[in-house]
Formats: sequence, structure tokens, C-alpha cells
Amino acid sequence: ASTSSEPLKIKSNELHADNEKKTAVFEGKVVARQGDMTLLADRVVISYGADGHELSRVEAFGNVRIHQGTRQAFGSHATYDNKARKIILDGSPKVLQGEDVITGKVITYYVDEQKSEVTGGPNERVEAVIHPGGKDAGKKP
Amino acid sequence: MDKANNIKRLLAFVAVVAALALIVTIFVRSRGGKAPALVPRLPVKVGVSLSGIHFTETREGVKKWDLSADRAEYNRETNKTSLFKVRLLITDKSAGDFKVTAERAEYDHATKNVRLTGHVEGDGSKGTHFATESLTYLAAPSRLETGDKVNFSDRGMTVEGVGMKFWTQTRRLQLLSAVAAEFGGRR
Repeated sequence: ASTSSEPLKIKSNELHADNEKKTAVFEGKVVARQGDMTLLADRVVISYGADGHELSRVEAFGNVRIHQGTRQAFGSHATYDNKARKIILDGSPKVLQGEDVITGKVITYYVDEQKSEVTGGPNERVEAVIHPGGKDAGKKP
Repeated sequence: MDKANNIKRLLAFVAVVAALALIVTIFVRSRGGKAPALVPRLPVKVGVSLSGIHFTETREGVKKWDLSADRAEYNRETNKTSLFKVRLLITDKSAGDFKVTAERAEYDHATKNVRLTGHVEGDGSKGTHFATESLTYLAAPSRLETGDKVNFSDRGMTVEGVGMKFWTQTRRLQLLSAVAAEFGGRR
């Protein structure tokens, strides 16, 4: 289900906001929810437009975990492009769909599509573990 | 014999009249209307009691804030003024004005800090708004602080938390715990 028109709700231990520059830094057990997607991290930085609809930047740092239906994603850093509805994960990123796993240097996770793109690097080749005939056979992680 | 009876009747008559007079006196005294209400003697500590008070703080020729209230009582011992139905207007050329209202406040003449309590609400000229139960305005750093729960909104972001620091000149905000924020969903 498309979650683009739903508000982004964030909980954390602490908040530092600069209302002049329209930036907000959430720190400590941060939980961000939008529709059926939940993102957890140590710190999340938001840049928002005058009316809050245009989130020009949502960046998560430290122990990033994303849960959405049967999909999960992990990394140490993530950037969420609210317009394009995708999350770019790096820092040993990993996406799980049921028992299937993909890893690489950078993973682009599409929020509204059951799709992810993986790019490798010199030391982090793309690796995918797919269980044929698994419950989610045919579904791309 | 008749003479004795007459004396008895006379005495009885006098007793009745005296009783009646006493009753009437008590009645009149009790309905006699209250003495005009004297201006209540001020509690010993209160030196001055004023209504419609207005303080202004100016630094290097620039007005920093206006503090006004419907009523105020200055306490000589603590060198503080208690205020009732309070309005604090913090002025700043770049950040714009910031108005805080509250039921009560206490102004410390030494530190120039103001402690506000009771339905405290703040409104900035650039769309900032907050509501809490108590608040302290620290004059030196021009900062508003509370340890209470606070609801804060600024165009684009609504947030609540417990414990707040808000710098009125830079409009920087810090919420200290239990933060829950919401940003409008994409149109």
C-alpha cells in the first residue's frame, strides 16, 4: 500500500531542532514510522520545508534497521529520499526477504515496490542467497 | 393586698419591657449594616500591591522584553514581584517577537528572570507555538526552559516531549526526553 501521503512520525529520547534552518536532529532509540514502514536508528536528521510536507532530507545514522511487511534491511547509515520513495543503505548493508538475503556495498531499497538494487565495491562484492521454492519464491528481496 | 399585687404587676411589666428592649437592640445591631470594607491590610511581607503593572528590560539601549500583568505584589524580603494574568513579550530584530502568556509569574529583580506558571503559552511571530504548565525565562541567555511536558509546533513540525530549552534569539529548540514528532505526509 502506498504510504507516500502519510505523515512521518518519529519518537526518540531527545530532540535538537533549529527552527530557523528547519532542521531537526532526533537522538537516542529513534523510531520513525510512515505507513507500514518502520525505521530504527541511533540518530536521525531531518530537513523539512516550511509546511512539513517537503522533507528534503531524512538521514539515519548508527544501527539502522528497516521493517516493512516481510522485508527487513540493515546498515550503519541510510538516506531516505521521500520524493523518490527509496532508501539508500550503506555500511555493510543487508536486505532480508523471508530467508533470502542480499548484501553488497550499497543497497537501494524501494519502499513502494518489492524491489532492491545492490551495487558492489572492491571489497564488498554483491552476494545473494536465494532459497528456491521458499515461501516467498519469485519475490525479489 | 391590692398594693402588693400592683407592685408585682409593675415589676413584671418593667421586666417585659427590658427584655423587649434588649431583643430590639440586638436585632438592630445585627442588621445595623456592615462597616465599610477597609482596604485589606497587606500581608506584612508585601511592600507594594499594584494593578496594571508594566516592566521593561532594556540592554545597551535595545529593548529586550516587556512584562505586564493585571495585578502585582512586590515582596521586600525576597526582592521578587508576584504577577497575575501575565504577558511577557520578548523582542528581537532578527528572530522576531515572542509572546508568552500565563496565569501567574514571579519576577526576580536581582536576576531579571521570570518564572511563569498556569496555562503557559508561547507564540512566535514566525509561526512557532508551544504550551506547557510552567516556564522560566532566563534573561541573560534569552532562553525559555521547562521541566514539564510541552507541546511545540513550528510550521512543518509538531512535537511533544518532557523538558524543553528554547533560545528565542536563534530559535533553537531542545526537548530533553520522551520526544514524539510528526511531519506532514507528502501531498
